[in-house]
Amino acid sequence: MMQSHEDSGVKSPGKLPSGRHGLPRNVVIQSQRERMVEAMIEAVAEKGFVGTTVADIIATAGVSRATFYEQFADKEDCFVAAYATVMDRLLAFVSEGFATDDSGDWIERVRGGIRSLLRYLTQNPVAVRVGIIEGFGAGARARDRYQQAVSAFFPFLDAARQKIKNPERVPAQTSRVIVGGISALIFNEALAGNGKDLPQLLPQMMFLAVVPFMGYEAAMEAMLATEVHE
Amino acid sequence: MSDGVGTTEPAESLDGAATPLPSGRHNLPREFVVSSQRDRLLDAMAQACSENRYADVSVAGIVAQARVSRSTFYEIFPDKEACFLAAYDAILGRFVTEVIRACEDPALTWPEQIELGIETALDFMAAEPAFAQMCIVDMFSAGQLALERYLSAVRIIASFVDRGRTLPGRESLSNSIALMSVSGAAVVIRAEIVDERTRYLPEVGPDILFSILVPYMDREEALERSERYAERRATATAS
Repeated sequence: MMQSHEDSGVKSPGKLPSGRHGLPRNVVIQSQRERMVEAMIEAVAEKGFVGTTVADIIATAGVSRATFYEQFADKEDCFVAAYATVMDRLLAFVSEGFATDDSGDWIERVRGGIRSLLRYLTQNPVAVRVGIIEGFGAGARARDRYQQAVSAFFPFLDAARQKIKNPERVPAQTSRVIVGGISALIFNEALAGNGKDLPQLLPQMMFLAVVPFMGYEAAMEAMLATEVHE
Repeated sequence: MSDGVGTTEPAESLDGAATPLPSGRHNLPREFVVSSQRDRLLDAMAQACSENRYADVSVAGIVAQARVSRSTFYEIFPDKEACFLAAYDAILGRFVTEVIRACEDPALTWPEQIELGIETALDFMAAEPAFAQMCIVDMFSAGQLALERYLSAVRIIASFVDRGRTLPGRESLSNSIALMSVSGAAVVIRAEIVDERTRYLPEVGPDILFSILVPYMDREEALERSERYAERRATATAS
């Protein structure tokens, strides 16, 4: 699947016509960048970051090596862009799930957000591999991006502070433990090959998210009221 | 340092393992002072990983730092990964042993044991930044075997936390709650290390304590325990 398109004569999907086409340079650059990023996502999902080479990327994206190095410093740089793309999609999906419930009930909204997260990851195994599994291992810049992505989910959880008495007593790191715990459970299940069963984890994740803000009874109630849709 | 829990001894010859330490100055942390070529290699690996990404660590750099020959390296370890894993096992084994020993004082209640375990773990890592970098950050980029070791250490700690289910009214909780809260605590620790705040790790102890305890006890009690832990630390730091 990673054969060079130059040899096979097959054009990558989305590749602009070669030769003179009169397209503005920035359009060309943007198109090349998107193709390289998508090629990186595909390659990392298939063989992991360590197993992926720049040669794989340029073959799939249908660009020259020189073009690759015009836009990215190295393989890790391209991976960070790929990782950011995957995490942005994931975050958009979770935000949508969090926002669709407009009852104003924080528990309902968190449930919508986590449900969307699990559904997206079940339907997009590539996102699990690239966003959850490979994101840790690629290197320092990718790790920074991982921490940034984790932080992007905090506001959904910290919204609970507006609903409780003495919110300042809930320690600052609470949301990081919840998001880290949820992503670790997804990581474990995906690694064990249970990627299709992710939606079944929703009740336990609801308990974990609710308990530090609202206590055991409310968390148990939120867990038991959580239906699992496949 | 190679006698920790979970240490796997390589099948290769350990010729020269009794070679004494080189004399003179060395910058090795106290905990990694070593007495054999194998241990020197393990130590050099831990040092190298604290300074560079695992992918950038080379056997050439390791043998130079450890002052052993390349052929000695390959007599002891088949490759870089084997050396990394042996170093990881040795240090992680000692870490887990120390934390579990702190936790298992029978004179303490379960929440007190958890608090002491967290404090011991964070103090250990703050004092040994090379260890912290290696065991909490690098194992994700060091291959499948390293990852499995990390996950099994998390499971050992989580099984201890899971004893919280024996507290009144908590028996119906899923064991995945302990796994998530311990993993989440590891994410907090990893964020501090990546931000180069390893020596301030003990400061996140009270936050971690709250997250670990709150599934298993009254929320108010978990908050109070976390607050008392923070006060105790503030007092100890001020005096």
